[in-house]
Amino acid sequence: MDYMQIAESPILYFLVGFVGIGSVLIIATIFLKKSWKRAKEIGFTHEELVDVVKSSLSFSFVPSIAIVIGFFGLAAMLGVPWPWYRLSVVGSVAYEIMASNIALGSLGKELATATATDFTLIMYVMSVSVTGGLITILFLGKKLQEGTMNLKEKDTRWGAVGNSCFMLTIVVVLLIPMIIEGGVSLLTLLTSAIVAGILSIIVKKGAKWLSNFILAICLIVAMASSVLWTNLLG
Amino acid sequence: MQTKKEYYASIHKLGRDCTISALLIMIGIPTVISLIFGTFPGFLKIITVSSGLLAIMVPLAVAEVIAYTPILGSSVYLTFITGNILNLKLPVVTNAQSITNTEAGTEKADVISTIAVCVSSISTIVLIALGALLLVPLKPILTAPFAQTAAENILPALFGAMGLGLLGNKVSGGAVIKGRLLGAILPAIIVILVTFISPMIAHQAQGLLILICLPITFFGSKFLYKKGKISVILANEFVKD
Repeated sequence: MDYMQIAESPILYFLVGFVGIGSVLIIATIFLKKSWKRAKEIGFTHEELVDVVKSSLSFSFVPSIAIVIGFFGLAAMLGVPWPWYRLSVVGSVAYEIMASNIALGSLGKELATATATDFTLIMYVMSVSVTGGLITILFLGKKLQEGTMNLKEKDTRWGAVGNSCFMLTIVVVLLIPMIIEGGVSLLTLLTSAIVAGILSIIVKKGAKWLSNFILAICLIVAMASSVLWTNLLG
Repeated sequence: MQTKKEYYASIHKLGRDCTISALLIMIGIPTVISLIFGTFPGFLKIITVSSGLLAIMVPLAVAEVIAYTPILGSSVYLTFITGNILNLKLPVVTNAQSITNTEAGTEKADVISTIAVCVSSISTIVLIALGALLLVPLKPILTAPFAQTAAENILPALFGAMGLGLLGNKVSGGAVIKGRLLGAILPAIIVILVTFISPMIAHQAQGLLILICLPITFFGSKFLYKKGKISVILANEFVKD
């Protein structure tokens, strides 16, 4: 049995589809049911919750298409089922591409000569390397969530400032390199910001229905513009 | 109706149980495959090949949990189980909190974030499954160079759309924090210096940079808040004005 035979084996399809992805769908449904019930208990109306659902669906569409594009790239290297699972659970496009390349590179082989054992090794490496986040949550998740809530309850004003520091730091660490490096990233970022600004003005002028689609529209226009900027800048 | 304490106890238990199940399944699939086909590569080889990736991923994972949990609340379990955090789940949660005018760190924001993450996770799973089913007809379009370029630029596109809101004085829940960016000056200088010294490090050591910058932003902001350089107008006060 060679690399692609195992990567495309029916048993892997079964394990990925029914056990891996099936279990995540069940987990998501349980969380949804529990949080929906709680939301109603603490005062949200049905309409408000439906609005959150609609908006989350619209927000998720474009980034999910980008994930599907990454999936096609990975499927050429790893067959269909394994990338299908990895991108539905825990992973991200950037991580999976990096992890599979490092794992393949460490074998010192071409894809054409890689063996079934090499494929199993790649599956293990991609899984083991990404477990850090899940293990950290097991130990820190509850403490961090309670700490944030206590911060807010002890001093509402400082709580608002303290809680906003986390997002602010993430934005600073990610945004500054994009701006300094310039080029296509910066132009794409500016395009998106300008489109967001224009759409926000339109929403303020009365087109409230548009507010749920601002991010999706910005993403489509800005990502399309990145193709133009790439061609212009070479 | 459960009390707040009971609800949180049950959601954390559920979260931990689901996380352990996800971990077992994640390692279980390669194990079952290697048992069926007799292709187990050996522990030493797995550890050796994984070590380089672990060196990058462990600090990043710790930084992500510390930085994202205060925003995600108890939805952090499902968020980490389903992945694609920065490019998908975090924007979805920020948006959900914004449209419901709820503030991170409150039960309301927590519950809304969980609903948003559930919906987003299910929709992504469905779309990837459709992608797998339609692999043959869609492949020529989605593997074309223009599609690859567009996909590679999703983060600048996301941050461009959200950046102004995330850096503005108005935060989730409707509070206005005057001077909040002052707390980010020192971390910004650090990131600028690192980027000028080595853009590669600025990208690959993002986890480490977040870990270094988080306490600086947090305690710097606390200092400036106590000195009165950062001030807060809460949502209810804003309405009265």
